[in-house]
Amino acid sequence: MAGKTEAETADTVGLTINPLELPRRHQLGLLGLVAFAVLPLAAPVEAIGFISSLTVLQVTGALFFAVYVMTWDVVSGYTGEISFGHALFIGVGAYTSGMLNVHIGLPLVASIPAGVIAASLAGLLIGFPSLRVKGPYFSLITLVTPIILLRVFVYFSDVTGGETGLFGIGTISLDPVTNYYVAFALFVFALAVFLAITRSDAGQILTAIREDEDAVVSVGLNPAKYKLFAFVLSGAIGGLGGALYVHTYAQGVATPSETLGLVLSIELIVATILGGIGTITGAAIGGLFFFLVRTWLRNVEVTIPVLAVPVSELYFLIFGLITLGFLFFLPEGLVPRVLMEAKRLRGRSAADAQPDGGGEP
Amino acid sequence: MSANQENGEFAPGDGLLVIDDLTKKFGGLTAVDHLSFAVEEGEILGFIGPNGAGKSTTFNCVTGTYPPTAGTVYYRGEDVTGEPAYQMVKRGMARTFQSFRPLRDRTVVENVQLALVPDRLFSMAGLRGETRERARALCERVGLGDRLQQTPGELPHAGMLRLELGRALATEPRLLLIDEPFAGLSGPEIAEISELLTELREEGITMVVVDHNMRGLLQLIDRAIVINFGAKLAEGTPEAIRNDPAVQEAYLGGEGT
Amino acid sequence: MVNAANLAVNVLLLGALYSLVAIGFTLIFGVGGVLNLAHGASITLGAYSAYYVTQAGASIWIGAVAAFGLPALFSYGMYKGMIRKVAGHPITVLILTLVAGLVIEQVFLVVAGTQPLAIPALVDGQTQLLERGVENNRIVAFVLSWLIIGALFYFVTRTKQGKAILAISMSHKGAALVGIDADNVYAYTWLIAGALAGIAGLFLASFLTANPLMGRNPLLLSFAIVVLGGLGSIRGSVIGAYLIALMDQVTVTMISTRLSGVTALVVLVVVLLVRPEGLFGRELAE
Repeated sequence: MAGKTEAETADTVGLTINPLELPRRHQLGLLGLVAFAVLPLAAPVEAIGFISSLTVLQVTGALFFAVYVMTWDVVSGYTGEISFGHALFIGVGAYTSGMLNVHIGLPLVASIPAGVIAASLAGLLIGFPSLRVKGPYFSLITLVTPIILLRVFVYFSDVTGGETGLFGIGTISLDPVTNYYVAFALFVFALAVFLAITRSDAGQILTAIREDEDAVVSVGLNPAKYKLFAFVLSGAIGGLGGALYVHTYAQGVATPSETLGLVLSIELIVATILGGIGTITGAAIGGLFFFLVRTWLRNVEVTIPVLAVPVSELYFLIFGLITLGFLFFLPEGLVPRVLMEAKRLRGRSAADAQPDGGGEP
Repeated sequence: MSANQENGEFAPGDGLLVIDDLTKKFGGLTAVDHLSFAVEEGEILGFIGPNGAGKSTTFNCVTGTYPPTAGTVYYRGEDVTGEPAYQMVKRGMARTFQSFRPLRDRTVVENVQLALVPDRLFSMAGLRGETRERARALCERVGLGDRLQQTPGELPHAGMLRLELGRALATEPRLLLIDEPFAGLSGPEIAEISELLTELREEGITMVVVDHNMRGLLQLIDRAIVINFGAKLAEGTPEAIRNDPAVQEAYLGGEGT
Repeated sequence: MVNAANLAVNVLLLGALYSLVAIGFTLIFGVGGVLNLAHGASITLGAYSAYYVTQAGASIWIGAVAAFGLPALFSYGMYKGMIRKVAGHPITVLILTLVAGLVIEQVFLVVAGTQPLAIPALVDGQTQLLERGVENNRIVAFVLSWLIIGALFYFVTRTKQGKAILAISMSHKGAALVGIDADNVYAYTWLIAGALAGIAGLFLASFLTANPLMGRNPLLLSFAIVVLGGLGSIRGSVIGAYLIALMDQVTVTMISTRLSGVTALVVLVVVLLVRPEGLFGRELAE
């Protein structure tokens, strides 16, 4: 891992970035973003057969999911405080905005920021125990908090819609293409914010906290400040994502399973493991990949012969087994591994490596 | 020493660091027992005692790792008892760890760089060339100039100590508390580190060095405080300490001079 | 109006069953420092083992043996096959046990379907107790549970292997110094935990039903129980189990069944924040 986080010369850290001079993997990333940007425009074109309006819908969902995954990575991948209930922030954002809109008639311009603020407060609320309570115990708290919230929601189901969900929430748009661009804008925004934070000094500090919190204290930095910052930021963007999700893709419906559920929280972890913990870009790619493959698996018509069970019902099982495999054999995740292999093949020396605040971008 | 100090009472202004009647109990165990002493600016003070004497506990109380049960810590005349550790570092009191705590996921120079990063949420200063330069210079200062790109896992024992010192120095301390630096070092290495510490003193840093092995320490220090069972046993120049009967008894059969 | 006698019977029984689950969980944590999030899977395995055994025609008592043995093997296998390999990475272990538990749930969902399944009672009929008819099955389950708890207590305090468990949970280094083979002790701790959870699963299923997600609620309650009782303490687990069972049953009968488990989880969070070592836990020595 030596040399991977070595800073570039002062020039490149400045604000003028020439795309042609960026390292190959950054160029690929930019290319990918451009491809996503024009995807819906290609949809009606018959020649590109596999892209249909269904694909636009699916990629929209994938973009939302990737945002959620990035929020998990910025906390758990970077500070090392493993959250098993990150869906909490998504759900708080979604339901705050949804309920304010449905029950009080608050317009989306106001309810969405309210959702973001509520989710940020949730981030703070979850962040505080991480200062007092050690690793696994903290993880336990994160695991049970959304469950408590969920059951309270079910209890108050006349207000929250209970398990079936809250209906009739206002929407920004029902047009798939518009929703796609909302999701895409959110994705780019989240990616930009998280990359800015993690590639700055804060990124070094956060990974240092993950590595050894006492060492961070000994250099005069207060870990609490940075941990809370990560949690609040994660909560804010998670909440923004949840609110936007409900008002666009979900067409005005907020359901607990899509926004608060344990399965969602676990899927975020799985996706990050697959993509690469502590990288942000790995999380984004892992998130997109996970969501699209999951959707594909759910729609696949194959049946497993002996068990007479369609593959579509097995998707979680399959992902679970893959995750177990990754944890054993590829714990750093796919993206870092691919980058390492690429670097090895090209025979680059450590001095050529680029800065990224704690892991390969 | 003033008459008060000879009686064991210290005033806040008696030194850069003044410990007054410090006591630390863990449940029924008294680890530090009404300890008082002063560290004068510009000196290298030895803090000596057998294993379990309470040296690390005193260190931890002073540096803010945990607050004492009773007593006061004065730094530069101010009462700083119980302030959190990161705050103490900002005030200019740095420490090294006996069991080294390097960040294993990054190189030597990046380790030192972390100490140069400003305590702000939004900052890119650490990535600028100037910070790299300062980090490099600090590494060279502590003798790691040829190991900049290595990770802590690749460092020899003495190298890890140098990294601890480098990181502590990066915080621009006025007072440096060094916890058992000579453990595990060979004779020549002890001499090298002693020389480095003496140079640091010339540059204006006051130091308190803890060790239970007096061998390497007595040449380095100006003055020593010996404790046992959490209480002060003796105080004075290395010569006086070496010849003190109470000290000799405490080390009877142990790692005496 | 709450039927106090009904409540008492339920709490007495559920407390015993939750104790079995919690003890296993707390032992695994006490010796190895592992929060075994797959512990619920042992419960489910126990119930389903008994189900399939009785479906195949054997008596329920054979089913009980299966409920005891198969989860024990599963738990043992999990330790030997997976946990041991990643022992140095607590985060990985947590994620591993969580995913493993979910995978087992999925397997049962796929193989057995979502339909709740009934398991035959161990003993039929009713007995008059305090002017109420109490199913014999419940009495048998209660008695058996307490016999097991008693046997476990004896095992841990009187036998060599049992004392080794206590020694390790107090201090890994100390135990190593006296020559205790940690790996061995971990292995049979996981084994025992699996067995306890399995038999609890059988009992739980025989008055409720068996379904693939049945391990979740008891596992959640176990978190609260072991944290309240103190991680590593058997006594704490039993007392915690009864306290939690009482709180939970009171909430469910007096307020709403939809709030099942909520009081326990709130207790969990509060205890972790206020007094993490719980009632009987120790500061775990390094």
